[in-house]
Amino acid sequence: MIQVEHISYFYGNRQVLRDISFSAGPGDCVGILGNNGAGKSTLITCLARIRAPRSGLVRIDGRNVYAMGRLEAARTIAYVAQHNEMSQTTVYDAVLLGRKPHMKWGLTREDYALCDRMLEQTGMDKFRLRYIHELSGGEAQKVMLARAFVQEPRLLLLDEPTSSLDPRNQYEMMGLVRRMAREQGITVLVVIHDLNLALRCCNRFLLMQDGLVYRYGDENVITEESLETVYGIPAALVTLGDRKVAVVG
Amino acid sequence: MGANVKCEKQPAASWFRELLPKYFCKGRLWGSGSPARDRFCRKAPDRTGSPARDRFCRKAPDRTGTLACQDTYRRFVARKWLVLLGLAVLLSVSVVLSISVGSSGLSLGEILTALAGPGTRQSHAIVWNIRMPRIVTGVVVGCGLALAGCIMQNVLRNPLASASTLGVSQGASFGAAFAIVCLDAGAQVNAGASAAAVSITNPYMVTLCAFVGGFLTTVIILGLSRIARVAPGTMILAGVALSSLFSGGTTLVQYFADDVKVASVVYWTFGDLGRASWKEIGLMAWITAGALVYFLGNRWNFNAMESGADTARSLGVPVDRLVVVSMTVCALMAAVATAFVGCISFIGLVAPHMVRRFVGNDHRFLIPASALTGAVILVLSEVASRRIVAPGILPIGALTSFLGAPLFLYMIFKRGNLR
Repeated sequence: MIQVEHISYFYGNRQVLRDISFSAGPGDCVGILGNNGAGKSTLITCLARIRAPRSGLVRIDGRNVYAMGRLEAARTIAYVAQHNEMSQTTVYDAVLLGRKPHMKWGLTREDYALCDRMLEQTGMDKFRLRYIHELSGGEAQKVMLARAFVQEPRLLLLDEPTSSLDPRNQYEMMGLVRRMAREQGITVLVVIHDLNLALRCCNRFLLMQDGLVYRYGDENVITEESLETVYGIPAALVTLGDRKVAVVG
Repeated sequence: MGANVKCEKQPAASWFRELLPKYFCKGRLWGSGSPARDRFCRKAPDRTGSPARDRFCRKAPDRTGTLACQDTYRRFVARKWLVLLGLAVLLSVSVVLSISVGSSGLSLGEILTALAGPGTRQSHAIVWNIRMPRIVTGVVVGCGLALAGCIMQNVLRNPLASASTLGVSQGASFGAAFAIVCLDAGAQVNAGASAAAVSITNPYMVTLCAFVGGFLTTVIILGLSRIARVAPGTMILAGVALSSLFSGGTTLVQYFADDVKVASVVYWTFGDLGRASWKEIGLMAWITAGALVYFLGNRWNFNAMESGADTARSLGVPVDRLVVVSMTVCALMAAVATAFVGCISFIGLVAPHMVRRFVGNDHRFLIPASALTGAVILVLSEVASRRIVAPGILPIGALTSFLGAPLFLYMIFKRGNLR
């Protein structure tokens, strides 16, 4: 259970996040939607403890994240950035890095076993000794995802994980996130721009506008009116089979 | 382990390709296996194309196929240990070579006897007072400069960073020259035509001033990196500006000094491994050993930094503390090396890039491998400096630049850019 309470953040004097509050349960996949500059990435980095908010609290299973030690927080929260800089690092080493917060003196058999399992589940097993800069964008993102799962977090934060991927990789990646989150009871917060991908893979939605939470809830908060307000362009929702499809613009 | 992944059998006579598969593939000494070729061979593994295509792909087996086995990672790591072992052997050979080369014509037997304890007074003096200090200085300074380069490249996220390219060495050089000339921390001795040298009478004062000069540069570089967040290329340009600032400062110090001091400072800036006494070597060794322990202790933190500061923070790395402490330690090592040995360029830049080809960016291996490579380069350069115009001695700083700059240019030409 993650509870975000009254988070506010300022860049200098400009307030970017205003009193953000919401909560999500284990296995939930929360899609964070909104225009550029709405504060989505800032919110994710505040929750990941990369930035310190001016006020507010984040509780995970009742414990205050900002009062945790560095390593304990890293064992609780995993973060996947939009771009990764990793160069001459092998896939296996990159995934092993996820065990860093759990490491005491060195790597154990369990660490290796977990990495093997996660590489297999993400389908990256065959690339284990490849350098990351030799992989395609989609493959590299899957490696970063495997690293995040190896951290065994309670909360997984993804900042536009699919922005540089082709449609097939987008669905593969989000499908994987959804499945792993359900299986392991991880709460996932994902900044996402593709509305239909969000509708397909997320079960809760946080609509943000100008640093405020505009709406938060299940699929029912995605309406033509709310999309028009958040994105500032006309939007239509149609039902195809049993699925809602958004058409914007 | 996926059931569909098969282990291909390696050809029997390819033990060294097994050891270093990428580097000794046909026609490529340095380059990595071309990703385009790998993709080409991977995309249509089952297509029975032309015999030429089959041969082409068989000759450069796709690493994904051959290495995707349960124990391949351990074998991969074992190879890196072998690289470290190889470097250690190379360093030992370089040390033996260095100790057996000299103008006095001692035989290896005499040298070993002197090393073991007995031996003539003359051979004992030559080995323990002339050759050993020089070799140990080479090892310690080579390790220190290479370590500083390796860590600076990591924490500043800049492949061109090193003590000499960022102006840290030049800052330290100015500080040391200032101490020698203005604070009388060095006194000239043995002012013969070919052997003018400065013996440092107050090593702590020279180190302190060198450290202040080097650290001042480090603070400016850190400010550019952390506050102004300048691009890596701009940072190197700032390093060029700082270097010329401090070179100008050194020139001014020399301009106002008397002839003897000018001669000694100019000679001092050439770089000479034979200048440090055991007392100074001890100080350098302690600092380098302490730095090595600190860096190795943070090896996983440096690995995390490879994926960017934000990801590193999310993995529990105290990024700000790590960057500031590491840069300070690097500045201290570079400053001490410059204070006692003079300006030695390019080792910090070249050594990490050379070993990165073999061990990648995994700092568990990159840190010790860089240190060993730095030591090997400096010890071998020192041998070369004494052999090229024997019995004369060339300045070691000039020699490392002559060796390092072309090698570095070759690496850039070969790969386009450095990662």
